[in-house]
Amino acid sequence: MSELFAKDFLRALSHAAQRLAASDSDVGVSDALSALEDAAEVLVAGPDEAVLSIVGDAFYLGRKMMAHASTEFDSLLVALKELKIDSITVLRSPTRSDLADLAALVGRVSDDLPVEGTVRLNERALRTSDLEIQPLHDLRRSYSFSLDALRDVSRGGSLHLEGVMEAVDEFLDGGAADPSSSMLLATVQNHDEVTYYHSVNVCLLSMALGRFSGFERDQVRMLGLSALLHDVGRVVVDEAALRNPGRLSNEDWAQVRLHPQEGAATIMAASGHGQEAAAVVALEHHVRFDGGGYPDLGGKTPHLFSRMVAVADAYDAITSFRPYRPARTPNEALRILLEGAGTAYDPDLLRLFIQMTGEYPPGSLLLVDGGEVVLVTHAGEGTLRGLIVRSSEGEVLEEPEPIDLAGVTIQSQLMSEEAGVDPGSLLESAEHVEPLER
Amino acid sequence: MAGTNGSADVDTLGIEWHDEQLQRVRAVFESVDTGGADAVVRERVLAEMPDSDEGLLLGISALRDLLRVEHRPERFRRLLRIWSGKVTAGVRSRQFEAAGMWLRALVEAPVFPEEFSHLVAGMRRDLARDGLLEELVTGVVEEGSPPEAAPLLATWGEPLVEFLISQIVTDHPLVNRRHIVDFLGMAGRGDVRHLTARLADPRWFVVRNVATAIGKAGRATALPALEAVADHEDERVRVEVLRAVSALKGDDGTPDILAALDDPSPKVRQAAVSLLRASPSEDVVPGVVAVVDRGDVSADDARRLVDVITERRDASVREALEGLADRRFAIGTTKAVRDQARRALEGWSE
Repeated sequence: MSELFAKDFLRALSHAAQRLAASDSDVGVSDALSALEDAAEVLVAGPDEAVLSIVGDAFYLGRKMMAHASTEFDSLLVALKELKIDSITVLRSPTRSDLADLAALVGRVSDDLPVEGTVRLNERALRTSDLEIQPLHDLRRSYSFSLDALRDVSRGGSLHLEGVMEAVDEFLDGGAADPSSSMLLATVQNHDEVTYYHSVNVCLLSMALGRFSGFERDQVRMLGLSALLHDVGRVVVDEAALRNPGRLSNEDWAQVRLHPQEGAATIMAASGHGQEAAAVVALEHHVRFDGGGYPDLGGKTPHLFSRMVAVADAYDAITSFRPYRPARTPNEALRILLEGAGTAYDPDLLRLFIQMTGEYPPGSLLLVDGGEVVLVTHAGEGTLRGLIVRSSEGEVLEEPEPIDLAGVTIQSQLMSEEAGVDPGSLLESAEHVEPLER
Repeated sequence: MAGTNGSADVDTLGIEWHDEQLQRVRAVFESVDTGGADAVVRERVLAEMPDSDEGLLLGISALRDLLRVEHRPERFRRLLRIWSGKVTAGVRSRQFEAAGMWLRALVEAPVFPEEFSHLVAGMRRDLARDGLLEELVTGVVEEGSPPEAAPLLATWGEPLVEFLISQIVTDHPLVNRRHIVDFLGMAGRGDVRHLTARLADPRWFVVRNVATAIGKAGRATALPALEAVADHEDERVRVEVLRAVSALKGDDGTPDILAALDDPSPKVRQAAVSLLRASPSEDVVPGVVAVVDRGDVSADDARRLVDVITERRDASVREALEGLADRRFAIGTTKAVRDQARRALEGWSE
């Protein structure tokens, strides 16, 4: 029983609940339920049943914590906790109607708690002593907190900067300025809340770049706030366009191009003295280093923070899946960024970013000469270290082994689907590898 | 989000790697591997780090950019509401410098599309309502009229002038009238026409205070309007007009002051004498001598004028006094002048 299967199940459950809650078309709901059915089948293909538990801030599959899934499906975790659901037991051959009941409950379309059938709730509540307890990385908690801060903006339709600032402070207290941890965690993605997750990732990457550049804590803090809110214009305007498969229509594109203005105005309305940089970054993060891009600000060079966020923004976007294109590897992302050095991006900042990440940024999955797959955990300044996450026989290791990649020949880079490994899920393991010196 | 930014990742997908590009990438990667090679770059970046007190300027810059690019009326109105909120917050928190900067962000060197001028005008009018000007005026007084409030008052313009005039007229003004006139003067610094238009007010006390304020505003473009009321029927107005003209013209105002010595009102003439006494202009001594030589001022005024030049104590004064003191066959004012000059010279030698 794989954590990846469990993640697929959680993703499908989240989608189905959303479709039902949104009173989507019959076809849309039907497709989502079919996907949930498929994911549930795969989840219980081996064992007789699968038990997903919610304890504290994390999902558990059996006794094992799914740290990364807890971050990736944060909103589902929150929803289940609100419904006081401690565990979901999926029995062999789960029926479509039982799964639909579960999705309806999660989507708040129904209040019926399934107690019998092939999907059962709260039957296998685990005691803490049953679990493999490991502390969630502080950054994960901060990540969830940041997501909540952005969701509040969307729910309330207005921005409370104090809450967002608290999220940034949590990040800083949790070690967000450490490039390796930040880059590993920033590999988390969520297809339903693209903007929220992207914003938090850009925040992490920007703060790491700020710290790497020698900023003081207060400066990193303001950069973090600016980065976390850089896309707030999308949060308050329209998330739907992002989920459309295929390229954007002209109308959608015109709408998207207005999000810097929307974001800047939203922040400006909420900001107090000393927080104005966030509005500037929201307005300028699509203005290129050479003054091009949008909106047309008369060719002026964007503010330093805007240029830093632009690099982090592009890096995260390129390495993330979008409905209209696949994700690229971190190394490919750097190459693409370099294409824009001096035109789209500030070459100095790009240089610092690459110096921070190294040629193969943390989160990269590398196939090395011996046939093993290595997750890069620490890179830059002449060092490259990681964890062997898949053996040369193709077996995913339960306990990844540290490796120094100096002198090791790298055959190729892999996408996480190819490697069968989720880079961010190894954040806690990577903590045990010697941190990047600065 | 760069995901839909053509420049970032969409247009560059599938790029072909030419040799030159590859070399550039390699060079960067190689420099990375050497480690620590980018101290200079880091310094350059840090040098660009904004000071914490630049935040306000950043915000204002962003607002002006937004005003420039926004062409949707409803969204433009929203920007105006944000602007109004910033000014209001600055006034209420008595951060007058910040309030003034926000106010000027919209008013000075306008960047917004021409078609929205009426919206801007409307919002400026609205801003002056709801007691904000009362809060502004009382706040500035309570804070001891700090100099940073002056630009804010200067930028507010006509609505503030109108409010302050209403305070002149009322029996129970919010603050001391001295402050009101001071603030009127500041309000006129941005565009003194807001004040000169008020010189046509039928109420003499309004015109008097406005004239005083114009003098404080220090805008010479107000002179024609002031001179037009120099012969106002009320002597109290004429006194203030004379003072304002003198303040605005400086040394060039001496002929106006000397001319005021012919005013039928003793108060105006007294004001003129005081102004001559305070004036550093070299034209004062010959001007005064010419006036007393004419013999058509009163004996008291003549004595005061002789005192005025005596106080200056320079060589030209002594020469002038000797000329006045040498007169023979003096009677009336001429005699009074001669006697005063002789006494002055006696005191001089001591």
